[in-house]
Amino acid sequence: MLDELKEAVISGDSEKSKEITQKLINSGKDPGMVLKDGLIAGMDVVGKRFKAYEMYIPEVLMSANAMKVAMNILKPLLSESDIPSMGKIVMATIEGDLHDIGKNLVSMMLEGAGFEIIDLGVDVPVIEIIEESKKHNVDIIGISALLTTTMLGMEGAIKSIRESGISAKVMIGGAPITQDYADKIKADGFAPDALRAIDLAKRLMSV
Amino acid sequence: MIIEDYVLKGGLNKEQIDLMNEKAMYLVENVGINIPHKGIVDILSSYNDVKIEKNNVKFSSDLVIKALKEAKYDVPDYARDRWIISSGAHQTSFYDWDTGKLRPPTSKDLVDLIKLCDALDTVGSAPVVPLDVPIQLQLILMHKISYEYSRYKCNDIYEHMDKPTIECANYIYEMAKVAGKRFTFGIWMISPKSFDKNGLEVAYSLLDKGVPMWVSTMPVAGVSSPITMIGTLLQSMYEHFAGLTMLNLINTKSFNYISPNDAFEADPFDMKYSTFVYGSAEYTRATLHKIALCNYYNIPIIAKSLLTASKEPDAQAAFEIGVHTLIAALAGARAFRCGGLLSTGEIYCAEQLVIVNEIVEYIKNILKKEEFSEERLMVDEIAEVGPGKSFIGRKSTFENFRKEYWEPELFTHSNLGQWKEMGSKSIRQYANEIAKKKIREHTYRIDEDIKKELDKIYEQAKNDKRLEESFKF
Repeated sequence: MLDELKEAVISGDSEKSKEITQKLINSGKDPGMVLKDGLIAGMDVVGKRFKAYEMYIPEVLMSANAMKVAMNILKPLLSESDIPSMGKIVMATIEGDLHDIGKNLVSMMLEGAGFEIIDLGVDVPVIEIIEESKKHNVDIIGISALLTTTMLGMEGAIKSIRESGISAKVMIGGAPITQDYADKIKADGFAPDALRAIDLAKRLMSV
Repeated sequence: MIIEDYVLKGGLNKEQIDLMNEKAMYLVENVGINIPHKGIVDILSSYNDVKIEKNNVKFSSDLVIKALKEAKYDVPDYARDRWIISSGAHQTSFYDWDTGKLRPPTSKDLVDLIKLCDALDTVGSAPVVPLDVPIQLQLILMHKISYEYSRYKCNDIYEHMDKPTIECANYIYEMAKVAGKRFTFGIWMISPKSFDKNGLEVAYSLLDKGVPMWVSTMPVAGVSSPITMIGTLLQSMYEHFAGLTMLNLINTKSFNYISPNDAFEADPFDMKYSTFVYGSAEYTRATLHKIALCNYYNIPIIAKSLLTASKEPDAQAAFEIGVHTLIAALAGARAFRCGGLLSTGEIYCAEQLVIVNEIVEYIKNILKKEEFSEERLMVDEIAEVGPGKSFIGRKSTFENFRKEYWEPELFTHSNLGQWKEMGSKSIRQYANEIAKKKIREHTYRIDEDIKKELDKIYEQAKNDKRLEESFKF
């Protein structure tokens, strides 16, 4: 049945993943094992296939949802140490910019990959980014900009974040952003798309 | 007698568009849009048939119909009888003229590209952002250079550049006045159902100036609008209607319109690469739907068919652009935009502009009007020229060969030996040479007195601290 659960996650079948998870718990299966060999195993396959461009964003999001509904059953039964969290990330579109397609996509994908996301929305002043990052003790701050005008605010935002004393890493993204620009303004990383944002976040967590 | 034009049949019919119109009106009246600007909402609250709840604004369909009726489209005379290419705009990545490598564009690139655009008679906005000047001066310089080195750039309905701050908009307004150029202000909506509040702020500041204003929106299927293309088109219609109605009620000292550059734009989204897809089959189909809608609402047609997902001027670029443009032309389009862009509008390439110019000429010549007459059947010629003889030396051939055959500048018809003799150049190399030659030979300049006035305004802008501050978001 663990294989069936893994398949339910891969195929994005939330109903099935919920049903099988409940059956496994009812049958006395260790919740930690259900999580590891059912859900995480399924999402690992999803991650590999997405990276190889064999799975598409809506399919990945359905898989993430299938895992989420199953986790709702497992969470109360797991000790805090058993619950995997890849890390905590604050996500925001920089002040002055109201675009959020990319940010929302990246947030959803990071969540699916096991990160806890605090999404501050659009047009977010850096002071709010700093306050929320401190409040939630985040590991990473993700900032997005779509306009060549607003992206310039990123440099000041990164400076302010460093000066505030937060140790969180800063990753940036958005249509006008390049690796050169990210290097110039001393961001910890740049991702050109949602997939690479997941890889980047994982890399930043391991540093 | 002319041989009948080739046209494309099919697509959205009147009944289907009637239904979409009805649904769009329903959405404007019952769902409304988000207008995050107190000043504008205050003006709107003075009108009957406008329902406001916090920032959510609903307009009656009567107001929408009025706005659509009163919209004005000042298509320039030079665009009425010819095929128009509007170049791509506002790019921050450019293929170097000599190395072919990608780099940020400079003000010198801007000047050279404007000269190239003018030499190719292209219209629209400035092609690249001069990243070697401070950000607060970039858009002002783009307008200045466009006025100084081209006849059409930034001076017609094909222009759609951003003016992100009040100070920036005012400088461009002053320059346009001095140069006798057309100034408009556009508001970009952010799907779903909202506006860029900075744009609203600038629009609000310009209301007393009596400048024409336009609205644009670009919902993305499956992301900021429903997954179906017709659902996305419907959302685009509804957002455009609401935006136009808003402008019609607040910008009463001038006319307003739906920007034909992106009228009823509906963008597909690639779910594998999480990117916009210009040049795809779905995008081409959306163009056909847009043309049908523009015909229905009497909005000038501009097909955004010169876009491609390809990163280089290669076979993919040629195919996507060629097919899209041909199909749009068969559906009635005679204006095409985004020439010179590659990689879904991420890169500007001078060679690509030369290539798309050739593609459009090619298509124009496929579809050119052909006279049918007994004279042109040339029965007597056929009767006269016997076995073993040739038509090549005849007077009729001499007098007519240039009219009968289009001579391409780029897609040359040399044979293999001739091609080798001429250096075995690739199309890109050849386009590069043509681009450089056109820039060298370009002569248009604005009147010297006007240039001096533009220089004065630019100097003022350079020293304007408020302008600089306005770009610190």
